[in-house]
Amino acid sequence: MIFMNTNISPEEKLYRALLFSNPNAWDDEKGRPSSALFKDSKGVSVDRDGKRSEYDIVNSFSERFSPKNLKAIVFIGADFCYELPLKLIYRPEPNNIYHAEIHDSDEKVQITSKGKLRKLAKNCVVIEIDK
Amino acid sequence: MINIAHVTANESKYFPRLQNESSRTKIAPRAIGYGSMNYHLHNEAMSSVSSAINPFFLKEEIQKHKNIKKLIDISNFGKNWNGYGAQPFTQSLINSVLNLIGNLDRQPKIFPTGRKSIQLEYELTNDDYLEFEIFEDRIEVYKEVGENEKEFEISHNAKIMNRIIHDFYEYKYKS
Repeated sequence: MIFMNTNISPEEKLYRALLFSNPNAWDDEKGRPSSALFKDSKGVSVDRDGKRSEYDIVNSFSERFSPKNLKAIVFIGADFCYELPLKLIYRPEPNNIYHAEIHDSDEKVQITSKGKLRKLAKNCVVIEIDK
Repeated sequence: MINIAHVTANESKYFPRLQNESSRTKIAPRAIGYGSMNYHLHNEAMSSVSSAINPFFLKEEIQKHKNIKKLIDISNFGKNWNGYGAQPFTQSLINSVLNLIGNLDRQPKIFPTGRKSIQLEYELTNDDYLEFEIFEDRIEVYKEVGENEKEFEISHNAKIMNRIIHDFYEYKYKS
């Protein structure tokens, strides 16, 4: 049984998948995602690292989305989100205990500040999936 | 040298797939700009300027057709296309973006979002950035020039968008 702290610590990393839908939020020219990747009406779904290795995290995404559908996985430091500032909420799901959401603030679920969204896109780290 | 000055949409051998796609996906050809007054004026303007191709103009035309293809692909997205429960895009939003794209003086990069909007981006090599996020009922504009950020809303109007785009590129040449 894994116990996760309900508070997301600034040292944690938050991961999000980018699928091979055509087109998608990937900017080929820049080699990084567009801020469109973080635009979600329900808040940005992410996975906490939960002290797992990057290898295990990539594997868990591959199992969930299938490797052929994964274009990349990106991650952002929780500390960076807190600095913007954004609200991080641990929201485990029955099939994913690592699930969390990035909200704009206590009052707003959706991130509406385009400046914050662009900073997320420019500062996230990309793990490209080898085919 | 290729001369595309007299290519009309119906006769074009370059874009038949797009036209087939548009009929398959119920996108009005007029929404793409084919057959529209703008499209014909555009072709006339091209032929009157020169029989040779202006490289900038050709690049923009190629990008415009890539963008139209992207929008047609986006219109075919089903539920959960991003793996995080995103909904498909409405045909009226797609048609609206197609119409705007057909009338823009510079072609943007296009990205779908998970909140039923389509994002158009312009970015300069110095990181200056202009974004139009197009929703069914409005366009949200975000501009980042140097340290200055600006966000505001406009209606679905290509003329206003063109003015903002021109301002954005002019600033580059002034600074």
